[in-house]
Amino acid sequence: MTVASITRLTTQAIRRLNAAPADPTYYGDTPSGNSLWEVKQEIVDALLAADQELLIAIVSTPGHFMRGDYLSLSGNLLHGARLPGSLGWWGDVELNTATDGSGAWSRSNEASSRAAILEAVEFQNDGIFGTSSSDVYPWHWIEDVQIFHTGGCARCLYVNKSIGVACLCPENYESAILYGGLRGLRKVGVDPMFFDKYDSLWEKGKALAVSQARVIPPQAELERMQLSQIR
Amino acid sequence: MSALTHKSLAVIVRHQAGLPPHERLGLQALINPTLKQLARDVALDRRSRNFLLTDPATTTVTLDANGVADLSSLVSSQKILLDRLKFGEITHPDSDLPLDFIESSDLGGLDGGLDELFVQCWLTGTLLYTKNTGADALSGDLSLAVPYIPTLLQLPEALEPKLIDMLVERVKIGRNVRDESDDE
Repeated sequence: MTVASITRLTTQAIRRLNAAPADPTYYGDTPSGNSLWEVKQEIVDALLAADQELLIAIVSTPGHFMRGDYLSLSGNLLHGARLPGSLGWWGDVELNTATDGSGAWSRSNEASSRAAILEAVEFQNDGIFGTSSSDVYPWHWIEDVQIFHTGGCARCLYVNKSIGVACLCPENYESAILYGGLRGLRKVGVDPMFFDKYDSLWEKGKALAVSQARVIPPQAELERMQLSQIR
Repeated sequence: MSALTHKSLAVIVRHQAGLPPHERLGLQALINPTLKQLARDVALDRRSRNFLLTDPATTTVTLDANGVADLSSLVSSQKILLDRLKFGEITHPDSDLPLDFIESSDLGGLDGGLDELFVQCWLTGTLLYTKNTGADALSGDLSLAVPYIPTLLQLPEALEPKLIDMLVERVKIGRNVRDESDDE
């Protein structure tokens, strides 16, 4: 996946704002004194914040075709362990017979409840579910933020992304990030119609991304679309 | 013998009963109780009981000086069914005919017309009493081909369909009970 370019987005945002910001910090350099957006970093940060918001919308959408690109494997999780914080729902769960994960990993079955797992763990050697503990393997249940399972340890796919210095969203959603960034740069004294337009474009762009559009349409076309049509 | 495991059997039953995948683990817990019920049912069925009789070559018990055998070890190890004992066959090498199983000790104490032909036996608790054809107490080993509770591994393939049917039936009854309680 190629991610959106923060350099390209920043250039576009500066053009649309008709700004001439100083480069690169808020306080270290002398502000440019041109326009209301005197510092370039302010524009970059607004774009990265929009990028993160869009990312959360993508990874929180089950089955989104881009979601797989943001999943990474957790560490080894013992029975009852807390799951790592994840943007969006945790992905597939695998179990290992060894507590240190040194054995083979098996795709885990989702049980019917936490109680079903606790019963299986408690009675796994009593011959109720079969002849040995392997008869209750591999099963798991996720409740709230804890994982309960019948293996030595588990691992799951999860989304662990935070705002950095580059965009995380795919480049086919780049224009939506631009609208979101501009929306976040609203300041007193600027024509509200200018930002209202980007408010609307951002909402539509985000809705399109969530509905798994392959690309955000050109601005003129997006302006004609109704948000209710997208959702 | 059956090649089914608790896991594979639960998969079959789940599909037959139309249950979702997450119910499979719970189904596994029903298999052992159903196997026990199957053993008891089969012992009463003249046509299928021969599938589930212990091997007399390996299922033996030694009589004491009074001609009494304690079956408790066979109950725990071979899982023989004491209440279905009469549907099997108990033999002794001194007798060409299997032992005649009579219902109780009071009948065993009475003289009968067939006393000289059959070695007789009766059960009191886990003790199997024998009555020899002559005056001497029977001694040596008895061999038992009697109903028992099999493990899944011991289950004859021919009885697999019956076990599956029983499990599906249990599941359906359980679901009906749940549905009815939901309605209340």
